[in-house]
Amino acid sequence: MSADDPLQAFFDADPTPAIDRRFETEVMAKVAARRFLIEFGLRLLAGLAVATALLLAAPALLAALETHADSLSLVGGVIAVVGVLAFAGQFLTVRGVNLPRLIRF
Amino acid sequence: MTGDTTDAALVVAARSGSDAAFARLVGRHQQAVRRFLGRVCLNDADAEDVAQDAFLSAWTKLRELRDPALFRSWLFGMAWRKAKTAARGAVRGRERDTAWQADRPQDTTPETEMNLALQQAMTQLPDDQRAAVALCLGAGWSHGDAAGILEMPLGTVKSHVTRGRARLEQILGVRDER
Repeated sequence: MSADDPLQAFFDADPTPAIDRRFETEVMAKVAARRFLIEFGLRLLAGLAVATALLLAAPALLAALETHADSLSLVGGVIAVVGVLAFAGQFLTVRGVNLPRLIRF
Repeated sequence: MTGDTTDAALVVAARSGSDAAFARLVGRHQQAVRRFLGRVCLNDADAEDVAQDAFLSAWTKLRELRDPALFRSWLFGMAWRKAKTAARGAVRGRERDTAWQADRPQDTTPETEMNLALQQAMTQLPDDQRAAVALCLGAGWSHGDAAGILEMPLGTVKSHVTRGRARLEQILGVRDER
């Protein structure tokens, strides 16, 4: 394309849009919203899968619990207490504001 | 992070979950994409919305990009497909927007007059022709790259550019004397 192309002069006169920080912010806000939806959906699916599995296994689990109730009561109590403590500890140590993912590259 | 980080490196980082890397890709390509869509969509508001959708789709489908170095042309292709989809739903709003454009205050600088004349002339071109002209004459893409972006055969793109150029020259009253 030659420099004296008259049509090119029209294209050259068309101003380049300025870098728009608002545009970038809006795109990244939409990205964050999309990520939230995806992660929420995945966790919902995982939760449904676990719930379904528990429902299906419930008769067998209940039968096993009734059979071994005496021997499991002590172990079950210990596991329950440890589990509660673990969840509480995890919550206390990692709670905070969810910041954007600033992974180094 | 250095200023000359390649697109490929940013794409790889963004795929790993870095929002900062993707934000840099947005910052790096937003002007070119918005300019291309401004010429294709014929309406500034539509162009901005389509540009945002294109970047959002790019983020969603980033793992489908086979060669990270080709991010820019892949992004333009996505923007073009979004623009085509938006155009199908925008026909009803076009008359209203055209009336608004006619009513708004006009600047009188020669550059603005040329810009407006070009915008008006571009509206006379069919969509595919306008996109090919916007890429090859407006943004400096090669015919081959434009064919990849627009998913058209190379010959079709060349034909669109040739006919589009002739039509624009006729409408604008200019003629290339080469």
